Amino acid sequence: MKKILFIYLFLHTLLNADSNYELKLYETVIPSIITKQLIKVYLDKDAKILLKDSSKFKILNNCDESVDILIGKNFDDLSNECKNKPIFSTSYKSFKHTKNSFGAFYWRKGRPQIKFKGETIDKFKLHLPNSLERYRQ
Amino acid sequence: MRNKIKNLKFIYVFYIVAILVLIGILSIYSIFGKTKGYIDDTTKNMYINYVYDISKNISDQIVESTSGDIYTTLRNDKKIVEELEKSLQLFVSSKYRYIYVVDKSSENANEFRFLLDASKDVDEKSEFEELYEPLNIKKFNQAYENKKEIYFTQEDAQDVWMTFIKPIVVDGKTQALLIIDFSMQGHLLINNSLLELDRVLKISIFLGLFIFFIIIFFAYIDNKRSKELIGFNEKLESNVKNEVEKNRQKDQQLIQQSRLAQMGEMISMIAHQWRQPLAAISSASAAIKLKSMLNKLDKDKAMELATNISNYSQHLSETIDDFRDFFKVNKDKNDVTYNELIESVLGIIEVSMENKNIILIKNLESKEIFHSYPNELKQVILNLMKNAEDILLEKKIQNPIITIHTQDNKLSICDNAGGVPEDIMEKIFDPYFSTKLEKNGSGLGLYMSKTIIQEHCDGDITVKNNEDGAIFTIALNSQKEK
Repeated sequence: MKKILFIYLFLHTLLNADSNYELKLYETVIPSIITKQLIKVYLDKDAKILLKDSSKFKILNNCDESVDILIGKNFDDLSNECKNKPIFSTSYKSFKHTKNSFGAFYWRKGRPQIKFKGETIDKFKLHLPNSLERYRQ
Repeated sequence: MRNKIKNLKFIYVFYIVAILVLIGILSIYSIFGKTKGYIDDTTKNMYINYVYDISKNISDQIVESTSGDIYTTLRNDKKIVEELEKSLQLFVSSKYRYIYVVDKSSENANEFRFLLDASKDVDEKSEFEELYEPLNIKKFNQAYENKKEIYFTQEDAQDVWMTFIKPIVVDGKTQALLIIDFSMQGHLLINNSLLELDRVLKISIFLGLFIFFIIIFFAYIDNKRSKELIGFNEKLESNVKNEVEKNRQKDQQLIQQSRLAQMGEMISMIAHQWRQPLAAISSASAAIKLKSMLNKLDKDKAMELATNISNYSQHLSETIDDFRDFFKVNKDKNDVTYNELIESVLGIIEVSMENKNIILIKNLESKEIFHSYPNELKQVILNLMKNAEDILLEKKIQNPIITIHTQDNKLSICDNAGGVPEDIMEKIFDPYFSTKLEKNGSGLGLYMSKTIIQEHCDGDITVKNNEDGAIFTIALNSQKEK
């Protein structure tokens, strides 16, 4: 059921390219990878706008030890301790060049792109569901 | 019948016009449909042909710049990449949003990788070799494998974008794909206008069809009603004919009665006319007998009496001829004067009136000649005089007088019986109206007189009272007037 819901939301998001659906995509993809009851998230400036209405994440204003995941594309100013947390990027550049980025969702030429780095996922012992395996690199 | 044919013709013309209008509307819609398709194809092809030309030039430039080995050259020479991307950027505009080149790392690779990207926006610009999975990856693979240009639309909320994919083929092998995303807004606007027009036409056709069927329905109902009305009219006409025939038969019976009454009067008049000559004949016969018995009948006397008897017999015969001529139906018009008519009528009625002590005053001034039916006019004059005689006798007038006056085209018959009561003045020419019911009056005398004068003789008959009695006036159109 979860898988069907995920595929539905994912495709719906891709086809409609609407921020509201992007929010739903994040709320579907991230909990399927980080299996925690309450996921504590730290967001960069752009991601804060995107996920401000989320009810599934606990959004922290400060990046501390309790953060489960970082979502965004620019975390240069963060402490090294915080940078070591798994990062879900919102751009290809961040995905490619940020060491702890395990996945990304971004738009390229008007088409949505979702990607995961196998090595980083394994490093953080994250669980990539079967429905997203095809996006592993 | 003529109306029926006229109605039927109208209905058929109406149906034909309605069908022609319907065919016209459908033809217009059909022509519009073809034209719409033609406009749609033409504008679409115009865009695509232009993009095709651009893509060919770009493709040729890339092949030329990379000497046929696109990936290796671009990977090793960033300068060529920069130059080519600058060239591509020249084409980027609000209508040509994305222009980029991708290839596959291997034949079986699931993703494409960017080689060139004309985007100026840093966030939007892809990196060299960045992996890329387009939504319509099947179309990309199809173009890659078939080495043929392909285009398809991708709709978003505001616009219609078309993706044109041109395989860059070198030595029969697809080395890369050139992708151009361009706007079809102009085509979309035309298409939307055509769709709007199509919608209006469809509504018009629907309304036209609706009105057509409504009109046909009402025409059918109207036709049905007309047929019912025609049937009803025919029935009514038949009923009227039957009633008219019944009335005609009734009239015939009454006319017959009237004729019988006239015959009775005629016999009475003949009796009056014959009384004197018969008495004279009887007297002559008795004289012959007496003189013969006394042996005093000489030859001369016998001749004189025989001549008298012969003359009286001749008079009797003439009287019969007069009556026969009087009542003979003559359908030919002849020239006649009032004097001739009055003399003829008086020849029949005068003796009878003298016997009843009615004074007859003749004041005959008219010399007009009328071209009419003399016998019918005589009957009218006789009828008016007999009516005057009847009323004079009925009212037992002491000095009964009937005055006949003619002047120009008018003939008046007056009596001194007191006149027609005012309350019946307007009815006396109506059929079956009679004041002589106790004397078996038919009520047709004055009605027939009026019919004869007005409808046969083209004249008029009126009545009015003077201080002595009634005045009936006949006015005919004289020869001069005609």
